[in-house]
Amino acid sequence: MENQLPAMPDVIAQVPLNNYVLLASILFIIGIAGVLIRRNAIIMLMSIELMLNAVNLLLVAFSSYRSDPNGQIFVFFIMAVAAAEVAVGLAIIVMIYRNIRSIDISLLDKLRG
Amino acid sequence: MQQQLSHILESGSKLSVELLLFAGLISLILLISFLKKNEKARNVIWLVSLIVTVVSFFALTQTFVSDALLFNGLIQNSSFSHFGKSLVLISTAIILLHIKVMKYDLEGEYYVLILGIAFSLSFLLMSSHLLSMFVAMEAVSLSSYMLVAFRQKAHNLEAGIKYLIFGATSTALMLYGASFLYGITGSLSFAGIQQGLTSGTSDGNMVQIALLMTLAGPLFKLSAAPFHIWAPDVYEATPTPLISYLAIAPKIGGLYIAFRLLETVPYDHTIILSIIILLSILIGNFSALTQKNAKRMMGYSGIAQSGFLLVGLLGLEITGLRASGFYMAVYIFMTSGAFLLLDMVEKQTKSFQFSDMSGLSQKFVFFGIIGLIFMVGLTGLPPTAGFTAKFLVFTNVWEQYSGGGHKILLWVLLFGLINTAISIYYYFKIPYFMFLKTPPENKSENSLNMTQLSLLTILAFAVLALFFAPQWVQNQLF
Repeated sequence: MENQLPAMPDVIAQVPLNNYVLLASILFIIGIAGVLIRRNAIIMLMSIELMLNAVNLLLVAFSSYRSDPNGQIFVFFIMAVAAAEVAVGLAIIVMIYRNIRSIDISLLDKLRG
Repeated sequence: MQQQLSHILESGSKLSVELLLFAGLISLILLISFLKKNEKARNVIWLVSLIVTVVSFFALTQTFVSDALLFNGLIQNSSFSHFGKSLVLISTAIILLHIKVMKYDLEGEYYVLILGIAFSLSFLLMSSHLLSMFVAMEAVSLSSYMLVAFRQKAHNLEAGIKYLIFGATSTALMLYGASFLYGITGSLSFAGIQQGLTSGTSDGNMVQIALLMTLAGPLFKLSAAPFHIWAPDVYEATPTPLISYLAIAPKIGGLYIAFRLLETVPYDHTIILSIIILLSILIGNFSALTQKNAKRMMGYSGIAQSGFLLVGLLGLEITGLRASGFYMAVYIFMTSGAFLLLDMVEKQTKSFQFSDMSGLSQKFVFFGIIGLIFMVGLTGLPPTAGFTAKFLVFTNVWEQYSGGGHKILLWVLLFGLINTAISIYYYFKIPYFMFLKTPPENKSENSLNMTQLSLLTILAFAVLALFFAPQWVQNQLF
């Protein structure tokens, strides 16, 4: 977009940036749809992971196109934090399974009002 | 290389408060690992966490505020973050006292999580880079999820998994927006993004949408619409002192990050922000009207209050920000007091239902009057600081509007005033039941604990005192 940036390698330029953005957006929308529609707790966590990976793809694409390493560093942090989040999530899901013998979120309806 | 290393070392020396908190966290973890699991050990752990909080607070008052960028622009210790950190530490201390006076016998891990939230929040309040913002915000979120789910009863776990899924989704939305901001400007630091947007020719709508998505993170922390859905469930299920903490502390960080992000993108945000405010106040107030459970009512009230907190950010003027900061300070005392009141009521009646509170103040008149102060404050009527806070944020809106602002500002103003009137109905439900309803016949003859009542009185005194002497907080404000 701007001219003053250093040139990127030809290999990356063979796929236009728009395609990366499009793919990432599709993945992200699939993730959101998964969280909204599915009621299995583990599949909801997987959908969240899909959304985060869409973001990772987008960051790496922007990072290469701008020849700026910051975006790729960000991706490592997102991976690490996502792993921590899934660890907490799975721990809660295991406890839920021990309590109600199911991981179906729609069975959890004690809190209403 | 040498220069970089010395820069990092020098930056590290400026984080004395965070280092203290971190040392406190490590020592807590060691104490939990090596002490026996009995009540005496848990008291020691409580005392250590209180000492760490108080010492960090005094260390904070001694530190000198400079706007210099630390760690290559990841962190900036501004005067607003200094104010926010002191609010975080004060609320931590109040919550620790709340846990003690209400005789909660919590395991040591709870204190690690509470101090962990305070520790990560102080980094969140200093972040000036999308990376540090993301990591700090996730550290706050992860500790909060664990705090909610830790008791491992079915309804705690239900609240925990709902909180986690909403939180993780809003984080993903935030990152998606942030990655577009990065793609448009080629920089991750707030200053770099601002520079890239002012100098480059970027599509305004695209930037606005990216910003709106990025705001998902702070709005979730603030429990503002449309990221509020978790609030009532989590408020209802979580033990009272813990939810009292989760209702106050993350909001400080959320408010700061919302301000920084709005400031970073140099466009007119009036319409977006007004819609968020109107939605939060509308949803919060009208859902609170029909609640029968007082804690759930506080959850909806928290949504409405975060709408009022955001009012100060309209126009991004420094006076508005100061009004929001003052509102936040008052909100801490009002909310922690209201939760302590509910907790004391629960000790008497064994439930959070309004109907069970009948006639409680006819027995304990002083207790009822103190409780009334918090409810008057949350509504925003004089003579409490809640009035001053609402007055300041609405003055900001009026000044924006009379200075030729957008028409929607007038709507925010009118709507806010009408909703303050509506909120009388549900806030005054608690005093109404306590004072005017006839008590049930077979009442247990519990007496009130004096230490609990004195902590409640101190909090009520703060709410009243800030009305008569708002300069106590305002002089601390940046």
